[in-house]
Amino acid sequence: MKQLQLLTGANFDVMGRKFFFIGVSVVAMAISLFFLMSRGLNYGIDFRGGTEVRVKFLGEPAVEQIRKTLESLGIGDVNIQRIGKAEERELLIRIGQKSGAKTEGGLVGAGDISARILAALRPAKDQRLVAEGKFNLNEASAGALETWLVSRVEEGRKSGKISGSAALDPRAAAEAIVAARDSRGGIFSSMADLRGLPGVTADLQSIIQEGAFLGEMAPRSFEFVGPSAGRDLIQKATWAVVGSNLGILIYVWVRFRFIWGVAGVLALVHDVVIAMGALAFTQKEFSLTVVAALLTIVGYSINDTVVVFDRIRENLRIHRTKDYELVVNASINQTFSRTILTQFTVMLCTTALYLFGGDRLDALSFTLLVGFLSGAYSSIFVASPILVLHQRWWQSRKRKRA
Amino acid sequence: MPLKWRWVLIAFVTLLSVYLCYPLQQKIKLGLDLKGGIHLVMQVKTDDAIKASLDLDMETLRAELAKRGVTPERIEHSGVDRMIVSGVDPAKGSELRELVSAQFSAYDLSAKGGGAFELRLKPAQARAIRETSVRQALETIRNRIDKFGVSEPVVQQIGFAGGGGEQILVQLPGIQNTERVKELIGSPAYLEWKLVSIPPGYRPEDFQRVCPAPQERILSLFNGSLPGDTELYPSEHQQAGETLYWPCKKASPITGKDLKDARRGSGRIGEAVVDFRLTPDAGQRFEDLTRANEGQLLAILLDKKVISAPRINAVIRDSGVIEGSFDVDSAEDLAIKLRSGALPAGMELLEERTVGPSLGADSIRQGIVASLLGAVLVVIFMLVYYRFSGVNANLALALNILLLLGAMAYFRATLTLPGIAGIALTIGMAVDANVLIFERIREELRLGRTVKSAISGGFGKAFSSIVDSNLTTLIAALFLFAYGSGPVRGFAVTLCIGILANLFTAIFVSRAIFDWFLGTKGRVEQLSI
Repeated sequence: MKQLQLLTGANFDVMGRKFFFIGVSVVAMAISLFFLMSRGLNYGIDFRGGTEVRVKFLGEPAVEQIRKTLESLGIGDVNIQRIGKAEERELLIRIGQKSGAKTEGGLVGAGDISARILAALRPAKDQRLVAEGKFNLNEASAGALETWLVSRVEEGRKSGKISGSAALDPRAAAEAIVAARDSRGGIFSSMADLRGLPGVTADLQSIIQEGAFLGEMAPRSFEFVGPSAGRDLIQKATWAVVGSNLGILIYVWVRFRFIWGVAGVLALVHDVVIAMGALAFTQKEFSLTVVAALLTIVGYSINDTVVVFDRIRENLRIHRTKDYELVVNASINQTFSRTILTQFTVMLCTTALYLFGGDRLDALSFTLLVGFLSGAYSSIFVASPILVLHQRWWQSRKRKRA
Repeated sequence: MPLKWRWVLIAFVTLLSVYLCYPLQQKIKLGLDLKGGIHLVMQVKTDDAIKASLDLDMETLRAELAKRGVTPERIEHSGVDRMIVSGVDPAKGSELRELVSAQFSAYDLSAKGGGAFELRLKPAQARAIRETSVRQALETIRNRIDKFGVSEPVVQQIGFAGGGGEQILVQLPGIQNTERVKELIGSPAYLEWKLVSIPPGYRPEDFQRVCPAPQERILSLFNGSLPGDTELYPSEHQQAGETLYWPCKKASPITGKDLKDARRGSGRIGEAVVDFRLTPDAGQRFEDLTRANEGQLLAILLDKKVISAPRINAVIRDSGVIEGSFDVDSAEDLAIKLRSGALPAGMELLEERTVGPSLGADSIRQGIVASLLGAVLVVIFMLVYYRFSGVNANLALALNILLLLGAMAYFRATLTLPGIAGIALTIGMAVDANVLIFERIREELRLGRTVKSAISGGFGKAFSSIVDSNLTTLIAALFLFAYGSGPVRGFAVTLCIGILANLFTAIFVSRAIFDWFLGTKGRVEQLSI
């Protein structure tokens, strides 16, 4: 039976060009470091502290006016960007903590930051309608809607608008309405959307038509991180990366040899630096989930490296007398097809995540994508050459001694 | 292990996983980022608690010193955990020393010269106060949250011991109204009853119509200066940005500590009120107080603000009503706060994350679509590339995901958005072990081995690679779990479980499938790989 084969019996002279590959890595790392130094990472609120609000608008959002309003609150630098497709009319508003500003999200007392921001975002029209006693259907929770419906139904029954015998279930209707709103991305664009929802009878519909309105905006998420919490998170993230590197170094040291551990960890550092360089270059937001991605790169990259190491160790046992460099080169070639295949399947998944995972997974999957490519490169072209170079140095030292 | 028993084990594990994770929607908990809800991290300001304790001791110290005829010029705070007693008559220094060692053993005393002494709270004592205040805050918040009626709320102490450990995490799935939650958790809820001071020439019922009033107005009613036992307390009701006040007696005969119970009720015209009951002891005091002051006004203060000042119409024993301009929610919240007691120290908000259910639903959809797409592509690829053996690998992959879900359900792990990414990644990496084995088998076949020996050789040689490579990844994932917070942990959990499931399916299940294949065919000439 015929096999579909990729690169079996490959015979690349990787070791012959080891200085070239190491050179490529050194240049890539230098470029990464350059971007890290010059542009720096675009720290998200996880690390920098600040506020992030996602709001969906019914009409075209007046970005400039929103910016001005928020700036006038004096709570920090305002940064507004659109997310998703233009017709989704969704804004991500980031307010960087003013340096030295006291945490205003203090739990006790007034001046609560989220309330102030949402109040400032709410258009004048919505505020006026609420002041007139109208009910905002786009911002109500199911519970609030139910309470409101109950009181309206009671009024309607008293005034005879609704017949006493009409079967109504305000709770079911409220839940159906809120669920329908959530499935429409959190906002109703027209009262017609209510038609045909389970439990929403003609009576209820007319109550809603009369007493409720569709607010211009719907908050989708709200995040606030105090500056001290950010510092704590940076510390933890650093420990996580350093700790996992040390742990891996020790494991590889025990299972193989010390220098193999060093080579593996150097390859890891290489991958992490390149992934971070790519983040600095693209200015994608550096958040906690990106730290998770970096640690995954650490795990994946060493996984790849260890597979190659394992083959080298095996071959060294079999061919004790052969030249070290030849054995390493052969081992790389023997594992080549496996590396390509695994890399390919992992890339299939990561690319799907990057293209279709949505904007909340964007930075995470981008980091994984870059890191995995770098990881596959480094396990072949960085870690293994380091072994060979070390062996050479060690041999020459032994010769000198003799 | 004989093949039959291996199948039994595999079947058992599979059925167990199905049992654990079926039905999926109920068994797998969704994180706040997917379900929507509120996540708060708060820092307990334990310095406040220490200061309050020092305040109390300063008062006692002053009184005790006075008993012994020592009257220092000043007793004041100097730093969080210390106070300075200055202007002590040099001849009375030993009195102070004696008193401190006898009654204030929680403090270290040191002479500062010139009749000044410093009392410093012993570190162990300070630590005990901090710990107690965090524990009490935790308990209070838990009580308040429990009564909020959220399913599966999380209230726990977080942070490192020593440096932190003064942080409290609150997670409320499915709740959107941050304001109400923060108000409920954060406000200290210190309740007091104080008699209202009536200016000369006023009857209580007339004065009730005048107050609350601006400061100057009240002062003028009292002819310019308040009596010594009276102080102005701001009212909850404001007027055009101006603070309005009630003049009340300083003493608080009844406070929140005396409450036995408080719950929302309705008043005469159906308005929301808070009904309360007092402990028997306080009930007696309340009875005496109301009997002696019938017809007077009794102010009810919450956190030093007057919420209402009803007239005492009859003797009240152990129960009463707090009226104010409440709506149903605020009356309920006040009752909850009163029941759960006062917070010992203030709290600072470190993190607040609220995700709306619609954003969560969007994220789930996108995450799952992307993961499924990735999985389908991998499955197709494996079939095309490895044919029959690809089926084997795909079975292992499917089982891998099933095990992952089962384990998540068993450990009650929460599925978060990055967790979905973790699953997608597991799918990508799960086939790695199979690829390692299959490539080895192919190598063996190329060397001319029989199918049987190629398979056992392939598994044998790939074994150490698989273990080493997965364990190193596991190390990274464990660090991710140890130091990650929130969603990152979710990622780490799925990754860890995924790796372990991977080891099982790749080494054990795959092998069983091959062995079954070899067993059924008698002598196998060719292997589709």
